[in-house]
Amino acid sequence: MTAPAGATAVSVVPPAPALEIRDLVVRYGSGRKARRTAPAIDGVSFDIAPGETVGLVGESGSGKSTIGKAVLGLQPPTSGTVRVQGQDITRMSLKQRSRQVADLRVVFQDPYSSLNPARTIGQTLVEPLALMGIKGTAAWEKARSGLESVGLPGEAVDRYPSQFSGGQRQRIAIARALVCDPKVVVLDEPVSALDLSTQAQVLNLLADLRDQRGLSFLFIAHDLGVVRFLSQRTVVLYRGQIMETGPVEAVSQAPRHPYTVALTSAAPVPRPAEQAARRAAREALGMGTAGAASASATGCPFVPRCPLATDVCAEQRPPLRLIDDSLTACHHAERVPAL
Amino acid sequence: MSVLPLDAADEVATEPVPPARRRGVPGFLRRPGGVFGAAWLVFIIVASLTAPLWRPYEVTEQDTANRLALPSADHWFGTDPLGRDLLSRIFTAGSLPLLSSALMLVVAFGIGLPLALLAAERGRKVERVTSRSTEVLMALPGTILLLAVIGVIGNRLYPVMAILGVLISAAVYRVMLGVAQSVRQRLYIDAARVNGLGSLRVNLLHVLPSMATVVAVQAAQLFGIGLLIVAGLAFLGFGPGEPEPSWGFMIQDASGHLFDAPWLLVPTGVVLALTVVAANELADAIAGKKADKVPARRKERLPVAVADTAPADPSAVLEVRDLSVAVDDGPQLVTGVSFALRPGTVLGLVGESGCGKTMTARSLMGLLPDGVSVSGGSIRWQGRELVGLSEKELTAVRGREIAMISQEPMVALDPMFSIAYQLVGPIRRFRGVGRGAARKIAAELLRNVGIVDAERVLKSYPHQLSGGMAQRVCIALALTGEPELLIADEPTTALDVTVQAEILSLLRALVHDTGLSVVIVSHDLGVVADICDDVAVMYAGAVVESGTAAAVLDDPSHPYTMALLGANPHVPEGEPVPLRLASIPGTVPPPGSWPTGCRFASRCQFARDECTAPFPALPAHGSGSVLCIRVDDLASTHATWDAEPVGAETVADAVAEPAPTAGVS
Repeated sequence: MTAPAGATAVSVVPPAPALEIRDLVVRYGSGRKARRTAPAIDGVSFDIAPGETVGLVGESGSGKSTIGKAVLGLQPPTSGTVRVQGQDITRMSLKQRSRQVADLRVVFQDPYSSLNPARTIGQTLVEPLALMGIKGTAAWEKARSGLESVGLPGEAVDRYPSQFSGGQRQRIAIARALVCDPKVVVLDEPVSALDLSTQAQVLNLLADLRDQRGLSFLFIAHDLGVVRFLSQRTVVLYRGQIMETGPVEAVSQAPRHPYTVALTSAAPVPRPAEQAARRAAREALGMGTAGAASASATGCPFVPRCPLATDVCAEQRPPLRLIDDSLTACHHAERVPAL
Repeated sequence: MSVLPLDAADEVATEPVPPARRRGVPGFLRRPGGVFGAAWLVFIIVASLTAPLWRPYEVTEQDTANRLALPSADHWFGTDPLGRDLLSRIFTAGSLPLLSSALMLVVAFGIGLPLALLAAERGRKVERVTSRSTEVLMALPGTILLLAVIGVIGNRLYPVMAILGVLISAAVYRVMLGVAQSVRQRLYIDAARVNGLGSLRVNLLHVLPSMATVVAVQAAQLFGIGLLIVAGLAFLGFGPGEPEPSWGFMIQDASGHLFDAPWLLVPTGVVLALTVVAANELADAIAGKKADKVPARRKERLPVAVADTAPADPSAVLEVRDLSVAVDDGPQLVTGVSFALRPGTVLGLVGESGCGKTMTARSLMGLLPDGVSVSGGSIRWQGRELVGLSEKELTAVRGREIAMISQEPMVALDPMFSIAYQLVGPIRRFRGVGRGAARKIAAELLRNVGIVDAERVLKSYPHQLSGGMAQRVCIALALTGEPELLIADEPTTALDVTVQAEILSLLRALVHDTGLSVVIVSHDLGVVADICDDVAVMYAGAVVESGTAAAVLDDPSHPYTMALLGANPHVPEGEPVPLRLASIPGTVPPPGSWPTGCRFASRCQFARDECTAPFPALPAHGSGSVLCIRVDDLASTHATWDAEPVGAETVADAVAEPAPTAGVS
């Protein structure tokens, strides 16, 4: 896959991207069995510029969370490289990473299991600071101001997670990620466990923090509407491969890959008349049932569900091609109907 | 703590909010059993260790005039066959079993716990080695091995108990491994690792504290077992030799005098029994820290004052009027909910977590959780009043007339049985047909819910199905009794959007083809727009706005509906994405702390003083209603719910009030 050349053409990529992923392959398990099954991530490459948010979307099982884990070092990649600010961290241990590159942090999906119920908010927040050599009152001062920067009062350091609602806990998780001034934050479905109005609060907060601090986000989500709100670019993933990537407006408003069309058209909008029209359009597309059959190893993984599939799709894996503003891995991208 | 379903607060809200953590007093000491266990253990340990300092007689001192005496002022517990003071001997004998059991515990946990932590951290490869090694240990015949050891090293209790500790460490490892593995799944472990905490600190600071309860329970129980083993060994003669006292030997001694001096058995037996019981009581009290709430027994249904029963809307198949649901002797969860469902239509109950939508839906089937019941109002189903029906009468309605599908299809299906088995049972019960006919009907039902290879799915087990397929099976299961009303509680929340669209299409087809009526609970306004004819927006246990879906969603009257729509990031086609989404400050107030006037007033952009006084719902959207006193003002000024300005989210504001979700964790 030759994403670097193409990616430079679509968006202005400065010399050192904040996060650079090249030819990432992740296989679960080990030994012969792992080599027989399809990899969870199959040759994924993309960059995130400083201050940019890239949305990673796909259905469950598409590998979007696996990419996040590989970037964070929680899942060792089989091959490929991950660089943060030009520094190769692919093979670094988690301990080395925190010493040498304090630039990479995470916010998880579930605000209930991501905070240790037995430790106060303050203890949770100063923990990463202590490892960076910031201790005592300086650390607690930083924890307090960190809480204030996510819209919570500084006195909350003395409370336990159980005293906060889901949205407030997610703010605390964001404060924990930001307390050591990282450059890149992996957001693994940070709002999908939250109610609509709380989700909006947290999305606004993330957008504010990004703009104030020039953060780069790898934003993992399943909802293209949410991704469109927060991201500049988006990567659409299916069975561990990139189907389409480009500026978020192009991908969400004029998708070029049948899979992106399937995802976009399936998301319901809260306007009955518009939704009825979208539904009719979606049903006219004739998309195959999700999870219907497993794909062939050689061709396009979306073949079993794709209404446009032909023989060539089952035989050759389509390369990423630049069409209009986005890169699309589809032999028939020109025939994809407009939304 | 598992992944929280989106509507968990609806379930959780039924439990009283626990009081804030009391500092200093551990939970197990607030239970009588725990107090007794801890007090007795502390007493026996202190008394035994200090016995040489206070005992009234030496252990070998004989009062030959008072052999086998009953308790007296001289000998509080009486004397043994040699006239020795039982009180002195019992407490002097205590230190050996107590200390050697403690040694066994230290050895067992010293080996088992670190091994379990290591295996949980390093994954399959290490775990395989450690688990196989401990299996070898567990396969050894413990008693025989102990006797063999005694044969080699003699009657030395401490080494013997240490070796027993090694044997028991295998069992400790097994239990601890399971706990450690589940704790390591929690995201705060990953978060700590991403922060760069070393393996030791992750284990000490995050994994071990979460295992503390299980460790304490196991330790207390094993301590009791250790005491019994020491006593047993001494009983068999493998204890400290005469004249040194030991519990086991004293019991053995007493058993020889069962008929001439039965009292002799009592003091030693009671002390040993009390000590073992105390250890187990303490274990139970620690384990019960979380699970102490005895669920209130379902009360006999009290006759509920049924409101005026004349149907207001003759065409409605289901009519709910002034429905209230409350925790028995507790706060109200749902108040004054009214809606009507026409046959062959879909009604949506929409709102955030904790607004009572699930409780409302469940009350329609009489399936409220224990301790929660309908406290007023009426539910008329096809002209019949459902409120106040007996459990037996409701069973006749459930499944046959009203069926339900839930959020988690995988949880709704029993993993132990094939799909065919799970479908055939209800079909035979509901339709009174034979096994063969029922299987044909099952395949037919699966085809009706869009499953192409019905025969293959019938033979499979739930874990072999994808989430979308499982939800289709659940819908087929709900259709076995040919119901006329389907209650769907967040039927697509756990599914991918593409699968959600397929399930919604299926539901729509069922409504269209079979005339089924549906009540769907959802937090997603997009789902409501897709499938619902009518909608009732719920907030804090009340319907704040209702009407046709088109009217409510396209032209919302209530500020809460406006805010929900503004918070939705799916903007209309061709419009740019807003810089900021509309949001609602604060959280939904928990049941029991609802204000008298408008429950939304404290979070509402348009609230005025008059909003805090009670007021009735006003008619709106034709047949619907709206619960807002300023609705005309807002309509005439074309008010919209605006997003907060850029940067407002990062200013510390009043969102810090303790949230009502403490019951979740």
